[in-house]
Amino acid sequence: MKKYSLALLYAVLILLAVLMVFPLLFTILLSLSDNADIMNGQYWPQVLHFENYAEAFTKANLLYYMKNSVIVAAVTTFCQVALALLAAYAIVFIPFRGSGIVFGLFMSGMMIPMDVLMITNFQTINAAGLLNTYAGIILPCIGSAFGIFLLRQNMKQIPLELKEASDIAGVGQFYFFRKVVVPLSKNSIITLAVYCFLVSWNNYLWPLIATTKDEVRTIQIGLRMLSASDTQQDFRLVAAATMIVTIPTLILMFFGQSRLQEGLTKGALK
Amino acid sequence: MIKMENIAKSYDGNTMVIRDIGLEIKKGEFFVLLGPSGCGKSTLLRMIAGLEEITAGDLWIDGRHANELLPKERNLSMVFQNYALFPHMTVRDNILFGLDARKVAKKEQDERLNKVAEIMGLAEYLKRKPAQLSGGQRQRVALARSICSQTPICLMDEPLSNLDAKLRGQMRGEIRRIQRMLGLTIVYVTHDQVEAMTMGDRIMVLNEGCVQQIGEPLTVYNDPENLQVATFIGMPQMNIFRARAEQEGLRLNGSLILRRCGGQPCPAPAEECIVGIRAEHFRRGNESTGYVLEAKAAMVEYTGDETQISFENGQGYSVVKWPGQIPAEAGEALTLGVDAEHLYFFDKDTGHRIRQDGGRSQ
Ligand SMILES: Nc1ncnc2c1ncn2[C@@H]1O[C@H](COP(=O)(O)OP(=O)(O)OP(=O)(O)O)[C@@H](O)[C@H]1O
Ligand SMILES: [Mg+2]
Repeated sequence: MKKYSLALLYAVLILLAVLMVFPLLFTILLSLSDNADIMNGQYWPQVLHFENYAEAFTKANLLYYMKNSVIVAAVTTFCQVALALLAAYAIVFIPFRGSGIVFGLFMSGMMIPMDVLMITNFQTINAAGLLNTYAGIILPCIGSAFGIFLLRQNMKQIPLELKEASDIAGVGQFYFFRKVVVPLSKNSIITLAVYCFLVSWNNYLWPLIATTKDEVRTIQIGLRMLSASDTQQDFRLVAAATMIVTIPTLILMFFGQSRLQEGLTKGALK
Repeated sequence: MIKMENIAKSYDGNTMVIRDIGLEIKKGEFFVLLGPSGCGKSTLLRMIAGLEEITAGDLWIDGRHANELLPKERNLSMVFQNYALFPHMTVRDNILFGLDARKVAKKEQDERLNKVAEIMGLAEYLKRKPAQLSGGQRQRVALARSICSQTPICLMDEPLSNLDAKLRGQMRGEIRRIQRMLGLTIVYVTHDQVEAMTMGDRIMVLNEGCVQQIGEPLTVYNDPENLQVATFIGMPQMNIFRARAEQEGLRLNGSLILRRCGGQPCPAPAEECIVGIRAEHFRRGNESTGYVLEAKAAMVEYTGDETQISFENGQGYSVVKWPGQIPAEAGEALTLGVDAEHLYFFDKDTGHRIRQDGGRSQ
C-alpha cells in the first residue's frame, strides 16, 4: 500500500517537473538551433549554434538593457529591504499607540494588487516629472507589505528580553537594530532580497508604462522589442536572448533556493 | 540605595498587581523578594529597572527620584531568568555588550573582561557562542555581563531556576561570594525559599502584591508575622491545625487533642484560633516541657539523614521530622511533645499572628 502511494506521488511529481522544465529545455534547444531548421519544424539542432548567443547580445543591445535592469532591480531591492526592516522594527520593538492599526493598514495594502494602482501610479510619477527616469520606475515599487510582514514575523521571535537587556545596558535603538536585530533576521533579509530582486528583474508592465524612451528601459522590455521589431520572426535569437535574461534568475534560484525555502517557511531563529 | 514609598502597579487600570509597597534597601545588601508564582515579584523588579511604569508611589535610586528615569539612567544591571544572551555573539561580545555605548575605552574593557572571566571561570569559553555552552555556563556569562558593567546595583530575576539542583546549590554560593567581594547591592527575585534563606541578608515575602513580612531570614523563619509567611517558609510546610480550647486541652481539627503536661489548662489566645507547629519542633516521647499529642503514624519515610513520619490529623496529614534514622512503623502509636514556645497562634479569620504574653516577640 505504502509503496503504491509513494509511486503515485513520484509519478505526479515527475509529471509536474516535466511540465515546469519543458519551456526551459525547449528554449535552450531553440536558442542553439538554426532558424531554417526551426521553420521546417526541426526542433532538435543538428549542429549546436552557440554563436546565436553572441549575436543576440550584440544585435538586441542586451548589455544596455541589462545595465538598466541591474540598476533598477538593485536599487529597488535595497530600498525595499531597508524600508521593510525599519517598518518591521518599529512595529515590533517600539511601543506606540496604534501600532496594531498601523500594521493592519500595511497588511491591507498587501491585498491590493499592483496592477490596480498602475494608472494612479502613472499619473503620480507623470505629475512629478519622473517619466523616463529610474526614479519613476523604482519609487512605486519600494514599499512592500509582504516584506514588512515577513520581517515582522521573524523579529517577533527575537525574545523581548534582548531588547530590555539592551535598554538597561544603555545602547540606543539603532545600535540594537544594527547589532542584534539585523544579524538575527539575516535569513529573512536574504530571502526578501532575493525575492524582491527576482520580482523586480522580471517586472514587465510597470517599467513599460513608466517609460516612453529606450534610455532607462529594462531588459524585459528589450526582449519584447527584439521579438516585436523583427519583421521576420527570428526564433533562435529570441530564444538565446531569453536564456541570457533568465540566467541571473537561475543563478539566484540555484544558490538561494534552500535559504528561500527556509526563510519563507520558518523563522530564522533556532 | 533603593527606596520605595507606597509603590503600586496596575497593568490594566483596574486590578492592582502590586499594592502599597514601602521598603528601603541598603548599599551592599543582598535583598531577596520571595513569594509564590504570580505574586508580582517580577513586576516589582522590573519597576526598579525601569522596564515597567510605576502606577503610583515614589522610587528613589541612590538618592535620585527615579520614577521617570530611563532604564539606562538608573545605573544598574539585570540578569534575566532565561539569561537574555545574544545568540549570534560570542561570549566575549556578550559580556562586553553595551560598554561601547557607555564609552568605556577598549583597554579598560579588556581589563574588565579578563578579570571577570577569571572570577567566573569563563576564560576558555570567550570565543564560543551561547548555544555551545551548558546552562550553568550561560548563567555565568549573564552574571559576568552584569558584573562587567560595574554598576553598583544588580537586579536578578530567578536566575537559577533553569539549572539543575546541584548546579543551583553551587551557583548560590558563587553569586553570594561575588556579591560580597564586589560590595554589590543585589535585589534577587525567587520563589525558592532555600535560595532566599541561604543567600539573603534580608527577605521580603510578597503575596498577591502585598508585603507580608520584611526581615532577616532567621527572623522570618522563627517569627512569622502571619499564616502566609509561616506556611510559605519551611520544608516541609508548617503543620496547621484549627484549634478550639477545651477542658482537656486544645482540640485540633476537631479530632486530636494537645494536652498540657501536668494537667494544667491550655492557654489558648482565643476560644478558636489556628495553631501552627513546625515538623522539626515535635519531640519524641513525652519528654517535652509543654504539650503532648497522641497520634498514630500513617507513613514513615527515610531520606537517609532524616526521618519523616506523617500522622492523620482529622483533616489530612501532618508531618514530623527528626534527624537520624528513627525506627518506626506505620500504624504505631506516637507520643509527640511540643514546647510552649514552638506553638504559633494565628487569628482564625485574618491569619495574623497572635503573640502570647509578649514573650516571644523579638
Ligand atoms: N504585561 C502584563 N500585562 C498584564 N498583566 C501582567 C503582565 N505581566 C504580569 N502580569 C500580571 O501581574 C501579576 C504578577 O506577575 P509577575 O510576573 O510579577 O509575577 P511573579 O511573581 O514574577 O511570578 P513568577 O514567579 O511566576 O515569575 C500576575 O497576575 C500577572 O498575570
Ligand atoms: Mg517572575
